[in-house]
Amino acid sequence: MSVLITNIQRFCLHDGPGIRTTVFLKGCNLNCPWCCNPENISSYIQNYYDKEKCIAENGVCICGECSFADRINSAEKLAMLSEDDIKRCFPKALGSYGKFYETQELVTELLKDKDYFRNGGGVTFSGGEPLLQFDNLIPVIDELHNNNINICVETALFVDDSIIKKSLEYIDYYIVDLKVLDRCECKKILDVDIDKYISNIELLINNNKRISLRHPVISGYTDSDSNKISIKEFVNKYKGRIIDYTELDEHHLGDRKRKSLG
Amino acid sequence: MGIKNNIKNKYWHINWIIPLSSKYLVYGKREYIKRTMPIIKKTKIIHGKGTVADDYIRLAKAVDIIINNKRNLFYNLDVNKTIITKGVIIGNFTLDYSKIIQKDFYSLVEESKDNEAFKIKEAIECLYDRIIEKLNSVENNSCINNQLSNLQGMLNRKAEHFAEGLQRVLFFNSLLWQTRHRLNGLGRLDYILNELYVEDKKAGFITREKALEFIIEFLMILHDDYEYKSAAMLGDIGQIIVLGGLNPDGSYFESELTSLFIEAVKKVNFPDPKILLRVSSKMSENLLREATETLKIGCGSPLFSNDDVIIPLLINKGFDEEDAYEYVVSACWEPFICGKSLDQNNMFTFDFWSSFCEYMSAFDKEPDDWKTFYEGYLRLLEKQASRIKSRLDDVIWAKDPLVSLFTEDCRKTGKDISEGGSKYNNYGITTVGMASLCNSLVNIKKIVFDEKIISLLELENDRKNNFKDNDKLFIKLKNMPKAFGHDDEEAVSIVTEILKAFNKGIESKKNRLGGDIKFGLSAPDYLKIGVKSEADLCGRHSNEPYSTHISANDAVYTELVNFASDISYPRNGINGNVIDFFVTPDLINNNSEKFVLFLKHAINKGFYQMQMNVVSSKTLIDAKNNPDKYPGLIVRVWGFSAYFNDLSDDYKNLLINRAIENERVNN
Repeated sequence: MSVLITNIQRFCLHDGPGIRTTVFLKGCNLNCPWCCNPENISSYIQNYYDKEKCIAENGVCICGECSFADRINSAEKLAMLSEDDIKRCFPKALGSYGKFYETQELVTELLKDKDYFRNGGGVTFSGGEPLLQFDNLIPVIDELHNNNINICVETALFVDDSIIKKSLEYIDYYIVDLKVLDRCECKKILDVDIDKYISNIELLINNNKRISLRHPVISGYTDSDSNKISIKEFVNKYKGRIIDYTELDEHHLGDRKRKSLG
Repeated sequence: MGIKNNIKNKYWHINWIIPLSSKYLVYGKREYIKRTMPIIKKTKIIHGKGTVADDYIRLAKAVDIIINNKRNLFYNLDVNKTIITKGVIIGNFTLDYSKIIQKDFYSLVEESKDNEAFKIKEAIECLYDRIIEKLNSVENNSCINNQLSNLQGMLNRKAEHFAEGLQRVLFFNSLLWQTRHRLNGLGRLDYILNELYVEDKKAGFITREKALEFIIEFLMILHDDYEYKSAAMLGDIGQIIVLGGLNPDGSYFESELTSLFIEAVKKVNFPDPKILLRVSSKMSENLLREATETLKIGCGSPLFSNDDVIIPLLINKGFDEEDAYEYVVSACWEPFICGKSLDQNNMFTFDFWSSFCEYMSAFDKEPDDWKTFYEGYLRLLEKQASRIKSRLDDVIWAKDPLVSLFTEDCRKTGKDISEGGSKYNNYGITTVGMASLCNSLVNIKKIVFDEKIISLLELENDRKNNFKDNDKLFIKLKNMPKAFGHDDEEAVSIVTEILKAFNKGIESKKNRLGGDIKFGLSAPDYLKIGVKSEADLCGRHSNEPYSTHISANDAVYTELVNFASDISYPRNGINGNVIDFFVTPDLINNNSEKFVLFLKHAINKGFYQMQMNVVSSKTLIDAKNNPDKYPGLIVRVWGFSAYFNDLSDDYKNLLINRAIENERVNN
């Protein structure tokens, strides 16, 4: 079984307890306007064009290796690039987001920092929404558990409760996004039903799972007074049942990647 | 004979100025002359008939003694007087201070069969008496009384109090500087002073707080004369305090005093004196925590030296087990057995990349295959390594009755350390250019032999021209994945094989004193030699700096540690192998406990040595543009720390670029 991944990042200190390796899985059922990993929204491999790396002059590729620089300005055109086109681009301005990893290949990669995972560290699956590929992750997690590695997911929890139920025996730690709690706003901004989120988080809490809540404070989306009050009440409600609650500041780390997708 | 050695050996009447002025060379010729002339004018040379020890006596009589009545410890260094002596004065070492703390100076003289020892005794007695006389002649206060008290019995009995121990280190340390020994280490001060501290504390003679005050004063005194003491650059002083360490019984030595030294270095926040912490899987996590707190202030200390790896390798090299457990380092990172060694560990820098350029330039037809090509280089490297010995043997060491007196075998035999009187008489060399070599070899294998994209001769032709006519090729090479410093079995294997071939070339060669030649993957000259080197095949143009020690700007910390830990260091490859990287203050300040965990696991993983700069690119850039805003900003340079404002622009730029690269990968 293979898993579609955009990046494996080692020495992560903010994605759960201890020192961790974070795996970014491709595919998300949300489309948050502030997403810092826009390359992980689509569940397909996507080509990109990073203008900052391109050595084209006046839109004409001076590498002589590709003839695309002047024409790559949309996702549709990027999609037409062949593997060879990408391979030939030695400045690495052209590339692909997403690579399928077989179980063993991924496990081998994740075990590279095994020695640093002691004292609570481990592997964090992030995304995108990592739980969407959960079935394919199970053999990977099994292998990691065999190596006594702690498993964490960063999830928005807007997935079917059957996946959450299934995940209970595999995931040691859940980092859960807390975005918009108002039913109408949630529907409007994220196009999802907040009830699903609530029932899933209760499922985790009732099963005594370790949970951290993270609230991205994004102006115009998640920073309204009413949302802040709702979040405060929500956090208070589960006080003692969750490990911590953190507010994340707005940033623009995803802008360059978003641009590169056309 | 090389020009440098020729000058050192033959023109000893005038070459005394070189060690005192070479720190100004980085600012260019005009500035060098401008800053050197006043030194020449004001320095009085003390030299007369007889031996070196006779000059020591003259010097002891001539130096001006200045009393500082605000200090409790005495220190005197008359920077305007020096001696001249035939040959090169040994340096870059640590005197065995334990001998004048746990015993006394006179017992060293009694033990010695060297006739010069009595002259050294006369010189030291003369200086000591003059100091006491001067202290008695100035207006009395509690500080003067403390200085007198701490100096009491210094020559004829063992130290009885902690402050006396510190005072003795200071006295003999000042003598070394006064007699133009450079880069003088301080040794395992927590270890050799521990008993005095514990007894003083038990007897109620001292408190933890009082001891901290003494150590702070000790550091401040040693930090004075910062410019005079600097060698190759301002800050390159080498007053390294070695802390902690494995005991032969497998336990780890650490004490309250270890923590006090770490805390004191943090409090004074000077580039020098600096700390090396001997680390081990056996050490307490708390000590690592304290070390991390000191790292956070960005002073570049401590450098970590991994006993779990180093001690077995020192024993494997042939150092006696009891000596290996006692190791300190030369001024930067080179393991050194104090009191038993001449070991001059920084005599020459070998450039791996230039050695490969020599190999490439000899090709006039395409090699048959990778194996033939690669093995051909390893054979040449072995030959190149075997030729190093003859350059090192050119150096003539100056007679050194003072250091001989502090060296066990010299005392026993009466043979001067300069003539091979000590137990260990090894020479050490440092190396640069390994990252360029390793990455270039990986790239050559891929594009010339595996993918056959380009011929070796074409590649070499473009490289020789610094890719002037083939920018495309340069970008291609630059964008190929870097292997050195990453979890890359091929890179680890290449580096291990290169080190093995190099070792083979020098292992059988003895220097003229019967010692071996050691080498390591760290060197001061990554910039100085790099800017004179040819382009490599992994994205470095000609005349650009080499990578610093074992570093990779595009690798996360764990990758770099894994890589360095996987290298098999050959028998002689022990002369310092330092991982070097940048950490942002935000990362370490916001994740202290995780950083401690990282250090702990990295020690278990098995790196050899590790040092880091804790500073952001934003700060460095601002400091370069607005030096007045950052008078106290300290950075780690090679094996020492320095004030950023004192660096020349090329060093500043290198640090800025490395900080920027680090922030792309490790944040």
